Amino acid sequence: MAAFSALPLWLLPLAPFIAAALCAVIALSGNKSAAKAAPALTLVATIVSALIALAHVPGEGHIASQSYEWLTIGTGLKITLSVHLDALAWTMVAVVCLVSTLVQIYSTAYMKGEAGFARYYACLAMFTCSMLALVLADNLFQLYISWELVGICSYLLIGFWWTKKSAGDASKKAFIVTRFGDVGFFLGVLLMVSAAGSFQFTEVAHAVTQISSGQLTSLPLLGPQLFLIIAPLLLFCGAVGKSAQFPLHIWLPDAMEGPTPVSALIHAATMVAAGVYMVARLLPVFAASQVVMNIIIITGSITALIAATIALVQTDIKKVMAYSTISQLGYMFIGLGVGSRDAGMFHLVTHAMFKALLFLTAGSVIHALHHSATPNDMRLMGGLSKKMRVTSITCGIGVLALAGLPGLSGFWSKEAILGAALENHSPVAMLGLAVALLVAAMTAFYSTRMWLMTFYGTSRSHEAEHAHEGPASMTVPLMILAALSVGLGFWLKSGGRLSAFLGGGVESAPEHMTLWLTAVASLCALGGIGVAWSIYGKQSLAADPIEKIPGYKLFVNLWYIDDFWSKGAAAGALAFGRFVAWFDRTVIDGLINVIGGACQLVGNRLRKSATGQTQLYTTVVMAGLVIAVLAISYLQQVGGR
Amino acid sequence: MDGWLLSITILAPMIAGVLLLTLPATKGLLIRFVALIGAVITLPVAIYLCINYNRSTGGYQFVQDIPWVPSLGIHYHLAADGISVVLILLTALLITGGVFASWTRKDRTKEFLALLLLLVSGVFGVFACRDLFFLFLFYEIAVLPMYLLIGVWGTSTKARTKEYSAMKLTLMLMGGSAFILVAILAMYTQSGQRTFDMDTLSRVGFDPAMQRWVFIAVYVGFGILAGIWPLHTWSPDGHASAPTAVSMLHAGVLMKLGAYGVLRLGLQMLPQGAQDWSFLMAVIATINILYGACSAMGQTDLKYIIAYSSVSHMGMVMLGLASLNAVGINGSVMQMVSHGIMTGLFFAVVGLIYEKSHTRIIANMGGFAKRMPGVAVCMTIGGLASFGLPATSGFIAEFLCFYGMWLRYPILALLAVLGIVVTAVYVLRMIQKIFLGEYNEKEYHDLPDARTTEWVAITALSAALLLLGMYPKPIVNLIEVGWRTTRADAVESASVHPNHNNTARVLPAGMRLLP
Repeated sequence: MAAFSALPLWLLPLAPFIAAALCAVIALSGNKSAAKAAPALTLVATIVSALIALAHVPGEGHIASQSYEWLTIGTGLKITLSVHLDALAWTMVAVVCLVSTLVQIYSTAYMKGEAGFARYYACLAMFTCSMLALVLADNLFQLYISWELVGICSYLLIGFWWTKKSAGDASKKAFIVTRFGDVGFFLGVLLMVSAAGSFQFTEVAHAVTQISSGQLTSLPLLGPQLFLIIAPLLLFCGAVGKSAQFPLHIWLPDAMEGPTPVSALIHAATMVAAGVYMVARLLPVFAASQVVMNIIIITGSITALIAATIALVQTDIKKVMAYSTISQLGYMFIGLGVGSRDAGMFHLVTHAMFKALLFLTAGSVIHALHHSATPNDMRLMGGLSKKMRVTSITCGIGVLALAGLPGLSGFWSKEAILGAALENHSPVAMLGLAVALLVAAMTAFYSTRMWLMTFYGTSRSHEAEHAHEGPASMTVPLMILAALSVGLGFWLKSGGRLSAFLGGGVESAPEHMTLWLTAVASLCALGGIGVAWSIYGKQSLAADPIEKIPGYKLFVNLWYIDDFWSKGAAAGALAFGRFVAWFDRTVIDGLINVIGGACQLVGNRLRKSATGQTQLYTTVVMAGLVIAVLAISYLQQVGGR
Repeated sequence: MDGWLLSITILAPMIAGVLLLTLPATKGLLIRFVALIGAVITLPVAIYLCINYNRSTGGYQFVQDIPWVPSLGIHYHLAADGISVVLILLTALLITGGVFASWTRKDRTKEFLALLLLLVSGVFGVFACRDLFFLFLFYEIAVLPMYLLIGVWGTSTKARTKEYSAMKLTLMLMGGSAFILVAILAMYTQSGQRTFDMDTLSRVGFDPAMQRWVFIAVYVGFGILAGIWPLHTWSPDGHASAPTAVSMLHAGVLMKLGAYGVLRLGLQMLPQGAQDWSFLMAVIATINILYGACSAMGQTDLKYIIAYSSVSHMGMVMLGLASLNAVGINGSVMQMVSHGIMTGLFFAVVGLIYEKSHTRIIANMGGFAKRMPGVAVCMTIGGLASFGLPATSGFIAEFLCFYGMWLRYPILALLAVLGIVVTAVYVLRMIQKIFLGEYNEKEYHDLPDARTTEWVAITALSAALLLLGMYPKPIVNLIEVGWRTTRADAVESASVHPNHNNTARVLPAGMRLLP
């Protein structure tokens, strides 16, 4: 470990960057045998990053932190890049490095033989670099740039199979929808920076304290009261886009077009959690206004609820997980909104484990069924538990952890959020609590349904009958993640390890969990599992009974939110573009042409006066002379007076 | 020796151009090499200028001052500050790329290259010159060859013939020249010093009322070339009709002459006028950004998309200028560089695509990445720079422009930022339509990737975009020193907000919109 503490800190985010650059060169060269080295390069780099992080575990008042000047303009604008490894960042680094490593190992088998193998690893490594840079930022500028960079990595990976039109559409949609949120984020950054005079998080938080205590009153555009609402909400827009919250959640389900390991890494465990991380990081800024916190709770609640209802009726295994991710992210925002950074982050960490696990098991299933035209369709699965032992058991563990079965990781982190909501007492927090309980039950239901449809009963297609387990490079990551999904929650919870770590070594009082709430939460989870079991736990399924639930049409049509965006907003924007283009060609350019035409017209008329007749010319000259003389004498008279 | 460096950049292309005319048209390879030498020589010189520009003293360096018509106060006075050397480097990069991009041109190569070199010699002249008389002369040298380059070598579209485009471009820019000439003569006569020297004139301290109207003449005159709305319509037609190398140079550097003119003659020589009109400039720049981006979104012809994106990006340049503070100006010049490289790259790539697929309508394309992966990667890098993705030069440029404008007119910055979404929409749409999706084997059975000389042009330009984006410090530093040591105080002290350090205190309470 000592050897790694001697390495420069900047290598932590940049080691994967070096790997990314090398992989990109390999990819561009098109060398097939060199492409085989790409996973090794990427893995080594990620492990180096992880080891450097391990050599700098924060605690007892010492935090590894370095900043590097990037650009300075005059005395006014100073931009630094940083590697700031405090407890919050360290937690995220651990999650990112762990899931990245496992996904990179898993992908060696999953992506084997793909034409763009090296390109894939170049993008993965670049993503790891950007994500590390994101969590290691100690200022808004770096946060923003890495925020955009993870977005473009996501774009490139969603569109990995670019010959498919749907992949191209999905990647474009993902980038543009999140960019909507990013505009708000950017404006929020501008507002915050112009108030604080610095990009540093500490300075920004300090400025917010000063504004709320009335010491800092001269702010751009807004008064202090509105500033404390508008500026954090603009930042929150970024989180809404990136973390797929209502109403910008529509890109995440489409993002499932990407390779499944990518969905596990980017669209479940890490990038989509960036919004949660950002709010957690800047929680004092958001908490300065109760209105903002309430909006966060409400956004989280709406998202959690809508996404859970949609997940109930999905038949595509990855779509169930995608909507589940959206829903769980909403959960995390409820936790943050009621003021508990620990609860939100706790759920982020455990969710990263079991959701990455679930996606990787889904990948395993899809890999086994890759001869099918629709390998994601759960209606064509069934009975896979006999053929794919490891996958089915690990997936089962993931499902139970997601459902919040008492004792597993998901249970503890959900409980933390529920407890925090209960402690908050405000009416909005109570609403959040109620939604959270309802969603917990639905989560248990749809995740159990997914497992049963996939693994239980008899095979419903030819491909499912001939499925078999993948190689060890796929199953070992599953087992590691399964172990974490079981134990990590309790380990972090016991003795308040996570909150102590995030709180900077200060042992926080163990939260006294109300017994009745624990009971209700457990009941919700068990009830959901039980109901699902009673419906889907049969050997053969004729028709999916879910189609009979009230609201099915609404759920299966995604609450018409996608339609609103694609048929309303997107179509409207394109039509507007065409209108502006027409306006430019016809009206603006038309005016220019009219001027040109007028000149030509006058020229044509005047041309006719050049007749070549000397008499006419002389007449005109004489007339001109007379007029000139008269005019001059008149002007002299006027001037003389 | 240092005194001759700037002259070399002007004279090398010009001499090469004249030399070309004496060569027989049959010696194709010799012609190309002469042109290449004339263009390439400027590159090491420009790099030397950038490295050896003394950043601690700043100001105008590499001075060469030869009295030309002393009785009228006309001097052949060349000198460059940090901003000029950066733009000279950009020009050198693009003319080299431009010659490479025209390597395979077949028809009347000799005359084509000669005119191209003449044009670029004028561009170097404008960037290096400190005498208004010569500045105007060089400006006209840069603008006029466009007429022939488009009219003779251009391509017509269904809607517009190349002759129409060439005529429109030339007439509109000539109209601008008339404004510029008036402004120059006004400064010359008002100063009462019988000099065209820009340094002397900028210290005169013109009467504010006079500055007000002369500034407008400068703004409109140069602004037409910079594509200000609503006088931008020459640009889409011109760029769409022009051959590849011409579009590269025209959108890449010529449009920058307009912005550069506003900066040098407008901001630095008429600071009070700039102060009075900055709001108007900012509003028009914002319109440019949004209007250009929306128009680009509505286009179907690839060249028109790029051309309208130039209108939008030049709006960004003007937005930075209108902020009248160090951050904004840095952003503005940085955007000139970034957009110059980016648009050069775009037109080079579009030229390649058109040459090989014979279509410019994006709806007819698809899956081209299969056959031209290298071109696809370069175009994507250009696209990312276009919507300001971090780690490309477009980001830092746009960021500084927005930040500079935010310090001056936050509301306009707020509106202009919306442009980054629209830009992302049209860029990603364009990339998807051209490169992604199914490849139509039947229609395009043989699409080759870029070839040697073309490779040089497009990889160099895309690498420049990435390098500048990741490590902008050296270039930004040059711009910053240049700006700080050449009348920045005059412009910024004329500002309402004299100190941009802390906006919180700088913005007056009256600017508040809401309680």
